[in-house]
Amino acid sequence: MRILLIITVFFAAMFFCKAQNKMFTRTGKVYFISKTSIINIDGTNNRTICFLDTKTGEIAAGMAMKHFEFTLPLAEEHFNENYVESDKYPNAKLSGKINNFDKIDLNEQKTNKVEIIGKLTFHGVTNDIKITGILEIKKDKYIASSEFEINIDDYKIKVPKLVDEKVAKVIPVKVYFELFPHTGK
Amino acid sequence: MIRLLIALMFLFNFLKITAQDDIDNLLNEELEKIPDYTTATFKATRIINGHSIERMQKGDLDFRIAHRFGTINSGAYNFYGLDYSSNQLGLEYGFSNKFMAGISRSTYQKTFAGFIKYSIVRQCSGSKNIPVSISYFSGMYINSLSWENNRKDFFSSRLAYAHQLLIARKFSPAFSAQISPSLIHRNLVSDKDISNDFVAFGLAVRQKLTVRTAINIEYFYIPNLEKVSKIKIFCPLSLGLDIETGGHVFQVFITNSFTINEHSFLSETTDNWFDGGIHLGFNISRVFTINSNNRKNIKE
Repeated sequence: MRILLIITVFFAAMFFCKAQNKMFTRTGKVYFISKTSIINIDGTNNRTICFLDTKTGEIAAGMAMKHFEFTLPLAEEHFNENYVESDKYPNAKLSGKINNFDKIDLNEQKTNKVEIIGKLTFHGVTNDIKITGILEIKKDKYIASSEFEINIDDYKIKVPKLVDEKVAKVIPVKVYFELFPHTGK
Repeated sequence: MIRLLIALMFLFNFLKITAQDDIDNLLNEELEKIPDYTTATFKATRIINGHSIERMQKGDLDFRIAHRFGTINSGAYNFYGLDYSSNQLGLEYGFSNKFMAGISRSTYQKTFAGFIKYSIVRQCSGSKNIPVSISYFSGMYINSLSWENNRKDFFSSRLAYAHQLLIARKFSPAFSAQISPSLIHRNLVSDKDISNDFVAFGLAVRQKLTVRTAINIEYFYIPNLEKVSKIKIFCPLSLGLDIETGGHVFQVFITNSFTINEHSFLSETTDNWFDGGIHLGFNISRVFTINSNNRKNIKE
């Protein structure tokens, strides 16, 4: 009897695991700009990966830092070599959870304001982060977008005195993900 | 019953972990699939005298000024060589991220030159494993001195060519090395004992000191020096420092070669390190973006 119960629970758990739906993208966009009175430096990553667990509201996003493209000459090289040190820390990752996700009706096509609490890791530093964003439920996809700021000091990005005035300390970041059902491939 | 509860607790605990772990693992799998192409094996398109595997990015124009002063052993009267110099002005453009071309004018033999450089493969780690980056360099040089040879002045006599296969590996973020097998052809040489073609083997290493500075050592080994030039020549050896400041790369170095073009520093380096035949030199590179259409941006 006991064994039967355990087996039942186990199968229920497996079913629960399998039934988890995931939304996913490999072409999420992340944009940042460093604005100073001297120069604006902006970069876009068009190949950000994001998974959203539609059962739990958990979210995992990541990117290769080398996929950032810049409008300024040499900015890509400086960004990778001197600031984020992409050889040492190739990826940035966000792992978090949408607050009160169970209150969102995923069957209703509408725009939901959401808050994500999680951990952002880049340049080898992990910090707790709380960001607000929008989760738009569409017929066949979700659109997740957000704007938040990061302080480069929190991630130990060193800016030499020589170019101190050319790099902003607080960097606004914009995120735009179109998430489609994850088929496992 | 208690045992069952404990078992259940473990199970749910396990489940709770797997829910987040699941997508984190999926994410990590995806990230591991991304091939990691090596960038910035060297700071500039030149190591010191010779080309590196690096190219200009698509749409970027590089304005270059290169100088080689006289020899340090020329004495205080010549201010240790600084009174005297050869220079080169060049414009180089990235037509794609793999292909660049450039033109230049050098004071030595009033040489006009053009070159192309193509990236054949790029070093890559992660899901794709390519141990080295390889670029092909080809240059053509036109001597435009007034003709003072007894021979008839054929235009073809003024031409020389260089071909190099540049093979480099970035061993660590700070250390890179390159070998450059080179073939030089001169249409006209001074003597029938001197061959029109000769080979040289370049070896160069780069060690970063800080994120913005690096030291380079570059050596070209030339077999059969007496077949290359009638005048006694030496293999070019150079020691340099790269300093990068925003859009500039400043390279300052000491070398025993006075001339700047490939065919020339490989065949006309008449100074010897061991008797003070050392030249101070520098390369300045200033990069401008001419065409940034290829760089996409997110919609506001």
